[in-house]
Amino acid sequence: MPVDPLEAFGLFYKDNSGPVFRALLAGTLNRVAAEDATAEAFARALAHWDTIASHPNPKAWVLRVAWNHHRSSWRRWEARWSVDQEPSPRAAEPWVDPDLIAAIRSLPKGQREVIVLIALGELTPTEIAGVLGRAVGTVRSQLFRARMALRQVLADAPGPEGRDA
Amino acid sequence: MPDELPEEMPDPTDPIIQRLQQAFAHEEPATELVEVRRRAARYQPPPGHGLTAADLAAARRREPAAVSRIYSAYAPALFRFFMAAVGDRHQAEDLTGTAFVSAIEGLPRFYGPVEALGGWLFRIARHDLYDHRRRQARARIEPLEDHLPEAAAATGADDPEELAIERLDAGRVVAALRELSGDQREVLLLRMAAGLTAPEVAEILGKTTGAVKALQHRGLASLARVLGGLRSPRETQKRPYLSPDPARLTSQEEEER
Repeated sequence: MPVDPLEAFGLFYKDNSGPVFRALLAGTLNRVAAEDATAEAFARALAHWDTIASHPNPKAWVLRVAWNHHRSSWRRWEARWSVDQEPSPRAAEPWVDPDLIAAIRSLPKGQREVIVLIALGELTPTEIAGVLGRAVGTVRSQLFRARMALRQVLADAPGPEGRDA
Repeated sequence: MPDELPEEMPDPTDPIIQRLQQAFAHEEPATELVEVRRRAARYQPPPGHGLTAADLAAARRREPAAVSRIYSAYAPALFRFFMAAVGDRHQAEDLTGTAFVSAIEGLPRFYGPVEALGGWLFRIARHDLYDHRRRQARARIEPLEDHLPEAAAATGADDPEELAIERLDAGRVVAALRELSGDQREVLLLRMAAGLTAPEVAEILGKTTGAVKALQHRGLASLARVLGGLRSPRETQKRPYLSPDPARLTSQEEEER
């Protein structure tokens, strides 16, 4: 365990920025927003590193901050741009697996948040309940329903490898 | 996480989970660590100034090393606060010392975490300041305004957030501060001269953080308005009564003679 706090934070960032960013990216499907929320949350973790360093689950803390930052900044964004004015960064994304992206987009927001935090944020349902401020039972049932819905949607679209052939 | 129960982990063989992970496997944030550090610098240093709960416990027992750590952590901010408020170095030094002594004496009655120590210290400081002003009013000592130019030298001296204020000359800031309401002035003094965070100021003044931010915002807006009116030197000469710098006033009067 390194003693220098900046070095310790550097390692924390190296290990966790990927999962946090991927969870935000899959949850928002917006690269700019995911990048901003990830950077903002890690910056706050660094600013409060003396307490975060001994936090029982610093990655869950960062994800919670990133999620809340995205929610509040997105609300401001939506207030500024009406739906048709929005410069749709989503459409321009060259996604590896467009069927999956369409399926994620079709999920209700609560289910989408839970499934991406499980798969990409690598959190447990208990941790997700803390991140999103929901009961564990709610998280579990949303996870179940998200899996069912995705399974159904993706049954016809087996994956990028199959389609490319 | 090895200490989690296995049934809590996402099932790695679930094809949905696998496909999600594959689809995003190559995504990495473009933000470099340097940029994260730069963003972190926007936040004020965490409250507590690096003091630990152990320091606090030792200071309660009046252990000299811990008491002196707390003193070094907060004395500069306390001094800036008093200096900006009373505008006299000796009085500010006295007030800093008195406030600190009463804080150390009262420390056994402080039950908060070390993060709350700053707010608690400034509540004491604010009470001391009011006592001081009452005594001053009774003794009919020179009015506060006589010292304001000196006071402004202390304002904005150590404020990372409002760089604009730092660049302003002291006399102008003081003139502008006089235009503000008492609430606005107090918020600006605590935020800038003492370097407290908005939630800390809110706690000291018994207001909500939102109210503090609103007062700060309106106060800064008034400052900008007043200072904007003083920006051009030609304009300042036309309206010498707005110039807060006694030296400049004197030299102008001499020129006119």
